[in-house]
Amino acid sequence: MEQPEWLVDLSPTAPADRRERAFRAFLATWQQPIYRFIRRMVLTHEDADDVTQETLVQVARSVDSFRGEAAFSTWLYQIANRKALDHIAAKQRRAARWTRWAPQMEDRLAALSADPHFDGEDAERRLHAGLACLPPRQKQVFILRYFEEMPYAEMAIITQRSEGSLKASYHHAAEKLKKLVLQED
Amino acid sequence: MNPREFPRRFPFRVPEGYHASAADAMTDAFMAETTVGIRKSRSYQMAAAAIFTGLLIASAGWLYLESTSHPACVTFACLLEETETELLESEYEQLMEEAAWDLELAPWSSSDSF
Repeated sequence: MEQPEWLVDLSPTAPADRRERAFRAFLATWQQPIYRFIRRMVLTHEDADDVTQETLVQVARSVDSFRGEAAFSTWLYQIANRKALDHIAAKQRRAARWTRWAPQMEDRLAALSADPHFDGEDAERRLHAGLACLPPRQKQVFILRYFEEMPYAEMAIITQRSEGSLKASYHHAAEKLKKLVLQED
Repeated sequence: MNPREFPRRFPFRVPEGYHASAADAMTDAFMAETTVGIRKSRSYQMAAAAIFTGLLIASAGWLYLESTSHPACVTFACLLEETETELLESEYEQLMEEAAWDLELAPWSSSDSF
């Protein structure tokens, strides 16, 4: 499987100047796509910033453990996906410690309306508020399939789930989203 | 709305210059080879800020309450001195009370024992 040129130079055994160049090239290719993917998962800029930085630095540091069985991008998305899910779970645990209340569609809509970094139209606001209301695994499947336009076979490697269960999750997610997006305020 | 009609555009903005500054921070962290370079989790920063603010408010509150009970004091040192004197006085009073109590209970303090 063909891998990017800079991958070898990310290794800790490579000279420092080549490592730095390789890391910059890695960021030039992946920083923004991974940020966008994570931002859709975690919603706020602050959370996306933390998770993106953690993901990219960890991936580059552990590049020696990449066996090359799948594409580098698949491995990268696998780690980003796990980090985002861990972050969401930790945030939910922290919130559950204080309250049993779970945010609903209108709360998400209000949060997005107040977010200075959101510049979408109403349909986009409703879509992303709806996404935030989905269970994390359904949300993950919808983002990978719909926004990242990823084939189910690759999604199966990233999420460690069967293609059949991913298709079912995508269908449920799309149906729920349709209801949430169309529901009246 | 049909799922096919969901807008695909990325509707979020990032602060100006964010990607470049984040890239610099990540490069520094990557080259530093330690976790020290990685920006500490925002939750830790927030917890530290909350504790610091709490301590600040508590000290301000204490100072305010103390200054109202010691209107003559305008400096922190004066307040401390006054509080210390008060503590010493109350300790002395307590000691005297205890001594009086002991005296009352002592066999020679009772008139019957003489």
